[in-house]
Amino acid sequence: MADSVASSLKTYLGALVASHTICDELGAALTFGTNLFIGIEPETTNCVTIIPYGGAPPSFDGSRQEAALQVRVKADTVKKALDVSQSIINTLHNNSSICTGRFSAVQSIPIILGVQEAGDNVITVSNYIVRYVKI
Amino acid sequence: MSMKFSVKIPTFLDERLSSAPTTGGKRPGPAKVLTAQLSEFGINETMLNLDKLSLAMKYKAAMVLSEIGIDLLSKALPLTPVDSGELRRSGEVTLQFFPGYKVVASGSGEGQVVVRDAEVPLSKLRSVNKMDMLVQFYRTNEFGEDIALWTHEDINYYTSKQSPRARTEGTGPKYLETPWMENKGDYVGMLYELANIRDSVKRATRVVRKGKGKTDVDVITLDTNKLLSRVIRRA
Repeated sequence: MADSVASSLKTYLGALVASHTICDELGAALTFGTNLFIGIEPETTNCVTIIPYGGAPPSFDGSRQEAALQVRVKADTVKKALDVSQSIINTLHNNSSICTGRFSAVQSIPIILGVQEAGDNVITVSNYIVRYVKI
Repeated sequence: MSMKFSVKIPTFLDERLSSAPTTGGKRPGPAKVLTAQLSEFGINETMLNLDKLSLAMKYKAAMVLSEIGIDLLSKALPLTPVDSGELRRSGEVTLQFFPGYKVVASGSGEGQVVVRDAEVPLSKLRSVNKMDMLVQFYRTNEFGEDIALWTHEDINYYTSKQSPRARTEGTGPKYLETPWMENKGDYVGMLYELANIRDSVKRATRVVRKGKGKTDVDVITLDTNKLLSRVIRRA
């Protein structure tokens, strides 16, 4: 049974050691269900959420695919949200050890979506295209 | 029409040096110069044809890029969130032909594309060697927030604390990226077709046989109007 790209990324991020730049900027190691989520962002502060959103259609033979996903960071300060997002971009871009494909960041710097929850949290996002061969 | 080329060919320097006295003699004289004259005709026609062909290719590129931009905008607008309609109206297709640009189409509040003028004057294209097509939305609200970016990139589900990004069914985030992802294969195919102008050239070609000495030569002339009309029809 093949893992989805989002699931593979969740496993990769969850396995990062606490001294990794992403965890260092966030202030904690990433743990699925605590500060790492897939699909829907909860009302937790200082968390990372992976949201897949489709991508281009597969090639005609169906084996070559281009998945697209967004990594959303919610933090209590603008600096932390930007730093974590930037670390994620730096780590994931051109990374081919997450799944059978290669991650390509769509943006070089994260996008600030603004503040939420009465200004207590800042949201930044970065998008990725994952080119891979289905196996 | 004829052109003359003069080619100056110096005699071999080694030959002159070997025949010159080795000690106490005179220095070698100036090199002999042989002059050959080549007389050609049809060069001007060929240069003119290349110029017409280049112009036709640029014109076709402009038309295809505009067509791609208009098609993308027409697929993006129905997906674009609508409240006041300002975001949809901000959608524009811009053809950039350095150093100029032209807005060829824009959106309406109802989700339709309004084509302003897709025609690019030929005079503007002569010196162009790079063209881009840009489809963009630009809308900020009264607080300075980038509504176009926010509505495009915020793909998280709504919660009770959040104002919905899309208030109309069928609209939502990634309203520009989704149609691009779905159709980019077709768009790349259209750009590949740019180089396929053999039939257009063939139909616009007029051949006149001219005699030059003992030889008959086919002089080829491209009809600009026919070439451009064929190009437009194909594009």
